[in-house]
Amino acid sequence: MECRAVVSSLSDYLDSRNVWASDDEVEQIETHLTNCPTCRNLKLELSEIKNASRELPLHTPPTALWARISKAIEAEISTENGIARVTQKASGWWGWLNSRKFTFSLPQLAAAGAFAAILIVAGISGIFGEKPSPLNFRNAQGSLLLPEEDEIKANLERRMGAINARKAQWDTERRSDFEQRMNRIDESLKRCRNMLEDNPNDAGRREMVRALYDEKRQLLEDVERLKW
Amino acid sequence: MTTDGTNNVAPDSLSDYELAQASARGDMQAFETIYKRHHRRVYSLCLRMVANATEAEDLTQEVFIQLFRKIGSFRGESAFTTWLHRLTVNHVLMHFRKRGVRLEKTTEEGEIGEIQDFLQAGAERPRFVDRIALDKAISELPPGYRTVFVLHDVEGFEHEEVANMLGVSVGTSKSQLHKARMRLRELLNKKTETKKETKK
Repeated sequence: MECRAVVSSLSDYLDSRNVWASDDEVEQIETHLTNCPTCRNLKLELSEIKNASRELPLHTPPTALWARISKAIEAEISTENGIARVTQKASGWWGWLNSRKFTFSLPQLAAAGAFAAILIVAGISGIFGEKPSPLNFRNAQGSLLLPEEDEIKANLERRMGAINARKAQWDTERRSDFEQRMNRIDESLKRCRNMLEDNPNDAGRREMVRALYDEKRQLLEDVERLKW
Repeated sequence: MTTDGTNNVAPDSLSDYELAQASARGDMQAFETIYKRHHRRVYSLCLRMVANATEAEDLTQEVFIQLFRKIGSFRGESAFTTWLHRLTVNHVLMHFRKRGVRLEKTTEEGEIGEIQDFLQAGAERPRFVDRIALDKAISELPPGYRTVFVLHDVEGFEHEEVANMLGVSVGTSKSQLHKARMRLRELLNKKTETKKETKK
């Protein structure tokens, strides 16, 4: 066996010499190591690196880090409590609606029936109507996309439109905080989409794009729930 | 401690699982104990993977916030340390993806170049590896090599796990690791030579 072949196999040999399929190959490497001081020394050095790496010193972050973390968690908890209060309010309203007793006249019932029929017809045509193939990864402009991207985008744009209409009433700090978070997500999204377009088979990147859209949706939902 | 079953018990004497359960019920004192126990390991892992102290601090913060959100899902089936490390690694890899770091990319020189350099240099006397120098050399590795090296050699993940986490083949993980070790050896030798020259 030549040095070049031994050098290429050394790491694998060090990590799994006991479970190698070919005893013959192990024997060839070991014979070579006995006779070649250069490769033997390399084996020792790699082995030392491998062993030392399990005992590396631990680093300590700045002591202020815990204060930052606990503050962020407490802020999150208070936001969640805010959301819970909003939800509770909504459930109170829903409860009130449920507890009411409604009586309808015959024309009112007929109108409601006609409206329900229209909704059913619209729903059926929605189900059986022509839809873009889920396997189609390209939009009309030809850029590489997630199959469900158009739908996600439309949903986000609709929500964003409603929020934009209210944004003028926000104070500067709230507006800048929201815009900063939104920009950060948008930048990451743009970068990940570009990379997905470069390599459409990158499943991890596709998941990343989905996760970023989800992050964006989450942010908009939070704003809606808090009624900013 | 004010939580059920752990009343009047010092948090330090509780197991990770007990602390995790208490934290899931919103006990910040229990969560602080978890932080104190594990923050150095988490920070060191982040620092070794990103090789940048500020980024590592931000990532550690994000990991612990995420941990607080998810801690209720820890069922004690695996060791808490293993669970937390997996959470940290996934978070850092997600950060790499967001930032567009290409982990599969190798350095400008290939394996052949490294083997040739080694063969030309001839036999060298092996020396004990200085751990601080090794730590520094790891931070100088290209991201792809560094990630595989940290996951396999430092954190002890198997090649199958590394390959799965990074979305590469086992063969790629093995070859990246070998190149990383060869590059580290080279960096450590350079550091030793520089030290010797400075002494002269």
